[in-house]
Order: sequence, then structure tokens, then C-alpha cells
Amino acid sequence: MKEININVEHLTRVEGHGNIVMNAKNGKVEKVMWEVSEAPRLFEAFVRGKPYHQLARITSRICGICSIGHTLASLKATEAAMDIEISEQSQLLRRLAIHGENMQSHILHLGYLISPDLFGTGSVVPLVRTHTDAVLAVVKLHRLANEFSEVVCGRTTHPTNLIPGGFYKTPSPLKLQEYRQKLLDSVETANLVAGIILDNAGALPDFTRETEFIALTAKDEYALYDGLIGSTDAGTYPVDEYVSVVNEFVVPQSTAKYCKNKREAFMVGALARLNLNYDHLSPLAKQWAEKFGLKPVCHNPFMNNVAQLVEFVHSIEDSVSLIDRLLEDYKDEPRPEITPKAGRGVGAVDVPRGILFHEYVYDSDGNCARANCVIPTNQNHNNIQHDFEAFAPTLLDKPEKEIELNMEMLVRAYDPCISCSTHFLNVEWKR
Amino acid sequence: MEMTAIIGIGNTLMSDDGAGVRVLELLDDLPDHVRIVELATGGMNLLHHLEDYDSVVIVDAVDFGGGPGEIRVFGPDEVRTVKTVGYSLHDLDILKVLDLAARLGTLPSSVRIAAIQPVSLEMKEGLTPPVEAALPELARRISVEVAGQKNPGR
Repeated sequence: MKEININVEHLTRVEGHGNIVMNAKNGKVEKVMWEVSEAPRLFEAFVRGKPYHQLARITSRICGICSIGHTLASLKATEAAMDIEISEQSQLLRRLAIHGENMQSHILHLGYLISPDLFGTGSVVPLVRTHTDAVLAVVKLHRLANEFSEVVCGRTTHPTNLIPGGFYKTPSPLKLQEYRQKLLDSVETANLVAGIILDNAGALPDFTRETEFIALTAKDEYALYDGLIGSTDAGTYPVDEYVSVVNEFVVPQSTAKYCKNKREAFMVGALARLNLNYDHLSPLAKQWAEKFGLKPVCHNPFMNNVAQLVEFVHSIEDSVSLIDRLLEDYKDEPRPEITPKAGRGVGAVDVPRGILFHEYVYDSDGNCARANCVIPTNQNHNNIQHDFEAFAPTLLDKPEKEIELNMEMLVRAYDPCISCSTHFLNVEWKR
Repeated sequence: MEMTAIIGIGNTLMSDDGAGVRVLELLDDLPDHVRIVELATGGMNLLHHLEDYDSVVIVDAVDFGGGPGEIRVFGPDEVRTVKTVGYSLHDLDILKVLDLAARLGTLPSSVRIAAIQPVSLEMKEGLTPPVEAALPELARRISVEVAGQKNPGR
């Protein structure tokens, strides 16, 4: 029997650095490992002693993609710690903020990072020649999502409008009206993209490993901004008890912590949300889920890509109805005034890659005494490892390159966001 | 009116990588048809900005094998990339994005890259002295570029 040795250092088309190692001999997998080699970020240490109004500003820098999500988790933790109430209007606007970010992130992942796997190309560039309309549609949707986030949050990345207690500046009703129309107009473009992905969905491996799914869940909506911690195995938990749900632990192969709850591992992200909140999907989103045969509880991690697509459509439709609710009685609300006080608070939101927790303890002056952040990608590493162990043995008959691609696609399906690095060009002169 | 953008790219937390952003502060008295875009680490969003302008000057730290702080202004066709990264948000090759825009038919009719040779790209605030000292000259070269571009509106 052949020997298989796979060693993918710095997997591409994911954010950050992770490695795939696999060895097989005589038809048996000897070793298969998902390694994370990033340095720790230490944000929890450097917010200590900082005043409450700076926390969301600082922690939003944990990520350049989910900065709106980190801002919201942070604000909710601060508001919980200081018993700050926020208006219904602000809560609706924050739901728009989270839709904007989910749309940005999902279309980027599907359009630029996943599509090459579906079409069997190394990157998006060859697709421009063969699928020009589809790539233009992706660019258009990505741009709309960015602009919509900017309208609501003040900036596409590292938002400025969102502050403890509500909003520093709210979008004008005219702008909301304008983007309501743009969102409606984008439905046709989204349908085009979804149709093309459906035509090529056969490229997603049919692999199932039963696991636990964890996401926010709520009685009356597809929970993204608010809800209880939901588990497909164990019902619901109050957000305050997140530590005993994520159960972080360390392993030698990873600089990131691992998590588990009821089983050996659990999964968070779009598929987990869909599995827990399916009934609350918007009508068109549900239609697309049905076309892909995606229904709860789906245990194929590759379907996380499809769940992101379904959520993209849901975010368009739900944003339109949220704007309608907002404009019924849109007020110029005063900026919130806050008297800091001592306390502990946990904030949870469901962001593009899954459920995100921030927890802060404040002293009586409103300075942070302790912080803890548990990010979605960390919660998924352990599940990726367990998927590897179940998936690798099913691939041994394939050529080595194909095994490698399948393992890479599995990691990419989770849309991991491992860290940040530099941006410089390196060129040589053409002779 | 034909619009021109000066697009600054780079990360100010990575020493000289931030030069493309820092130089924007030195640009003043620009003609009316010129906009400044601080893209910084905005990655693929470059694609969206390219759509909106007739000509662009992209300012970035580029390792072209020059001396510390050396400046070159060139067109994307004059170089080939030796960078091995692709389209990840956090590690972007602007030449690849320009190529993508060209294939999509959204590339401005004029694209110039104002490049400065970095000395250090380590994680640190502030530029190295040779790159800092070269910023006024980089700003001057950018101004010359945009002034040289035709503006039928004026």
C-alpha cells in the first residue's frame, strides 16, 4: 500500500496561519492534525485599567473583518455590567449593523475564497474569464454590504457610531430609505450568485460527523444580536454561564485554546445558527435552504458554506423589514449619558464565524479590572481536529493532491480567521 | 469631471509599511478633481474604489530592490510580482487586484504606483529615518503625477 504524507504549511484562502499534517501507511491514518501557530494577542491584558468607553474601541481591533461584532459584544458586556438600558431604536439599528457585517464577511468568503474550490481553480482570477457576470455580481454585493455597514456604523471597519448606551450618531432616515431600496434591488443579484453556487454545489464533499452545534437562539427571531446560548444537544443556557459551556482547554499542537461542551467538540458559525434557528429564516432564505437540501440538524461541516449563503439572503430581507420598523417612528434620540459603576457583565453576539463572548469586570470608576474574550474560531479548532480524524480515513483511495485539497476545503468551510499580518508588495523589474 | 484618486495603502503598525498612509498627511493644495482615499489595510476594497475613478495613483511600500527610502513611480505593466500571497484580506498583493479589475473591465484608464523602498517591515510604530526623510519628496512626486493628469473640467 502507498504511503501518504501531507504537510500544508500556511494554508491559503483563510485569514491567518494554520497547518495541516497527515501521514498514512498501509491504508491506515497514522497521524492527522490541524495545527495553529499564531502568537497570542494579549488583548485581555492590555484593556486592564482602561475606562469603559474605550473598551469597544480597543477590542474591535481584535479583528479587521468582525470588528462590528467585537464592538457589539463589548458594548453589551459593558452595558450588562453597568445596568445600562438601550432604546428599542438603538437595538434595531444594532441588528442592522450585524446584518451588514455578516453580509460583508459571507460574500467575501464565498465569492473570493470558496468559489475557486467549487470550480476547481486555484484562485478567483481564472473565474473572471469563465464566469464574468458571477464575479461582477460578487463584487457588487460585497460593495453594497460595505456601504451599508458604513451607513449604519460610521465606518465599514472599526465602527465609530456605536457607543455604550446606544449611538453617537444615527444614520439619517433618508440614507436608510436609500439603502432599503438598494437592498431590495440586490435580491436579483443575490439570486444569481446563489444559483451559480447551487449549480456547482456537487463539489462540496458529502461528509457527515455528528457533533454538537452552539449558537445564540431566541423565541421570535433568527438570533444574531441577542438571545440565549443554544445547543443542539442540551437546550439553552443563560449568556452569563458561557464559561461552563465553552470549557476552554489547551493542547500541545495549537497556540489557540480548544473548547468542548457535551461531546468531544462542538461547532459554531452559520451552520450552527441555521441548525438552531431555522424556523426564523426569512421566506426567500428558507427557499434557498430547501433548494440546497439544507435542513436542521445538518451535520456536514461543508454545508457551512451554504448556510452562509442562506444567511446572506436572510440578512437582505430582514434588514429591509427592520428598516421598515425603524422608519415607522424614527427619532433623533439624545446621546446616552452614563454614570459608571462597579460590576461584571457578559455580552454575546453571533458574528460571521459564530458565537462571540466578551466579559468584563469594572471597578467603581468604570475602569476595567478583568476581561475575557472567547472568539468563534477558537471554539471551532477542536471540531476541525475531530472532523480531520473522521474525514481523513475516507480519503485514502484518492491521489495525494486530492486528499490535500479535500482537507484544505474542510478547514476553509469553517471560514477560520486566525490573525493579521503585513501588506507590502515585492516585485522585480521586467527585462 | 474626470476624477482622480490618490490611494494610500499600508499598515502604520508595521514600520515602513505605513509610508503609503503617512504620506497622505503631507498632501495639500490638490486640484478639485483629486480625492484622497486612505485605504490602509482595506484589502480587496481597493476593487470598489477603482470602479469610481478615471485615474488613480496608488501609494505603497514596495520592495523593488532599491536603496532605503528610494522612490519610483511606475505603471503596473512595468513590474511583475514576486510575492507569493493571493487574495486573503490580511495579506494582499495589489498587482493581483489590479489584474482582477482589468479583467472585470473596471480598471481606471490611468493607474500609477508611487512606490517607496522600505527598510523595515517589523511590528513597530513609526517609520525608519530614511523613509521618514523621503516622505516630502514622495508627496511632491504624487502631486506632480496628479497635476500631469488631464482634467477636462478645468
